[in-house]
Amino acid sequence: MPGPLPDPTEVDRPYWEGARAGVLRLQRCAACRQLLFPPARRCPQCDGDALRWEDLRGRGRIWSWVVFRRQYFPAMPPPYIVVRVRLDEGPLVIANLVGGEPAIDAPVRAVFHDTGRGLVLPQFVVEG
Amino acid sequence: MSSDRTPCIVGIGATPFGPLYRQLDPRRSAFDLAADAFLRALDDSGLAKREIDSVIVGRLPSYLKFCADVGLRDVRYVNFQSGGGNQSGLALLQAATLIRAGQADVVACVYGNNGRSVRVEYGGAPIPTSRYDDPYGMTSNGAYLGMMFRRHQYEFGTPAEALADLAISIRANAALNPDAVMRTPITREDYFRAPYVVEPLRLLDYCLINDGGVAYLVTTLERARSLKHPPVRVLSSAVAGAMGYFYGTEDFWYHTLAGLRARLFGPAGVGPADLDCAQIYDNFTPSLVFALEGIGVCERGGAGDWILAGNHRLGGVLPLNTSGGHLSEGYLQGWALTVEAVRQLRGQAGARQVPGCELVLDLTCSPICSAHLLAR
Ligand SMILES: [Zn+2]
Repeated sequence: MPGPLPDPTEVDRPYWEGARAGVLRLQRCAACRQLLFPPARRCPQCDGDALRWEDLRGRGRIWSWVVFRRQYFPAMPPPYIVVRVRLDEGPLVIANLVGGEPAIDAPVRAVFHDTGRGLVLPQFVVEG
Repeated sequence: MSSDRTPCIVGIGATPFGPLYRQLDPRRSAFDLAADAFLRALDDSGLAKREIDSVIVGRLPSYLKFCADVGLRDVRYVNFQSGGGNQSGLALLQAATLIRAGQADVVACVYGNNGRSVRVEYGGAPIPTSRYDDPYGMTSNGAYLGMMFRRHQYEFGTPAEALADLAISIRANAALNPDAVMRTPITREDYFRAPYVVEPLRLLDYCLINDGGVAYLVTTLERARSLKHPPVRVLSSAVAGAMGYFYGTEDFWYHTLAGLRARLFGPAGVGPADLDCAQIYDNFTPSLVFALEGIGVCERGGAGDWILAGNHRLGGVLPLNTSGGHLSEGYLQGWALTVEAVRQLRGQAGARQVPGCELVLDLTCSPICSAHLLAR
């Protein structure tokens, strides 16, 4: 069971649609080429508003990780692993690690979990 | 120098945190706690209430009510902080700046918190990425700091024993502080036997949640000279923030803190080696590791060794959080650390007094980094 799920907005609907299609999708600024996370209306780096959604490889490396041993959300009994992943394309994202042993710098790939409550969540597993 | 406007802290007041912790009372109001601390600070200063012309209020739901409650009806300046731990150092900077600029002659800085009695949950406050974190159960600054600490361990080999030794020495300091909440000494065994909350952080890496009020009064050196206690001067202050979508940075705030060193130490003509003790915001033990490196007390990546050598203990090179800090004295979101700095400089710290204390660092990084040098 996931924690609280957001309602997709006009700004991040393509992100969630990407997850449903099994792909990690973020915006790239047409002017400065910066890849954005979280989704935005405007590029924080150059103020450009020409942002194009781009499919990513869904691969990266674990920047760091924690194991929740205390319950914070009613629907999420501990323990569960949260990783912060440096995507190959640059951005840092948060997700659960749902396969393999966590280790810093371990290569991971995105998998997609249907919550059954309207949203598909990107998750990660250790590769190999 | 008859009109010296160097800002000085001249009155301090704090409710006794231990007794409040042991006696929960849902009717206890944050206003009452703040007023209690304020009256103690006023009495401690020797100032007359009518001399107070400005007020900075932290966390209380209404600055109007607080001012009315204590009869501060005409003010030149008043401001309110929502109260997060990122702001305590900004209250002192604000007060000091008003004094230097001649915009105020006496500023009362006041904080009150009844969070334990009314069961406030910390750690669930939304951050800009909460909508993307919550589905994964990722929440709380402790979790973000745990993530940073594990990365710090990977980059620099910092051992978990360094966190243990911080918790242990800070508890030992609290044992010497009659007003502290947690006073029973702990050992490494206790530390490692305590459960993980968000691994790699254990229970004793986390600050307390407790009720209390804290207040201090800031005025000019000129006015301070004829008051009850020797003035404690605010020698210099510097603030820097690394703004982002997450709590924390990939460099453990190193460059943010390193960037404010010159502004902090330069004007005072001193360096980290001149400090007699430091009061550093310890919401979680890793914050201390990052702060010690960033502010230049030790080398980057060297905090683990520095701590294992015992430099942070009373009697060591730089005693840290002499009152017991947030981990063991009480979590007053930075405010009580400033008061402890003043006690040390006045020589009023009792059994935990640092002998000959002349220069104290008061530092917060959570995530706004604010630093003050206080001197006798
Ligand atoms: Zn751009």
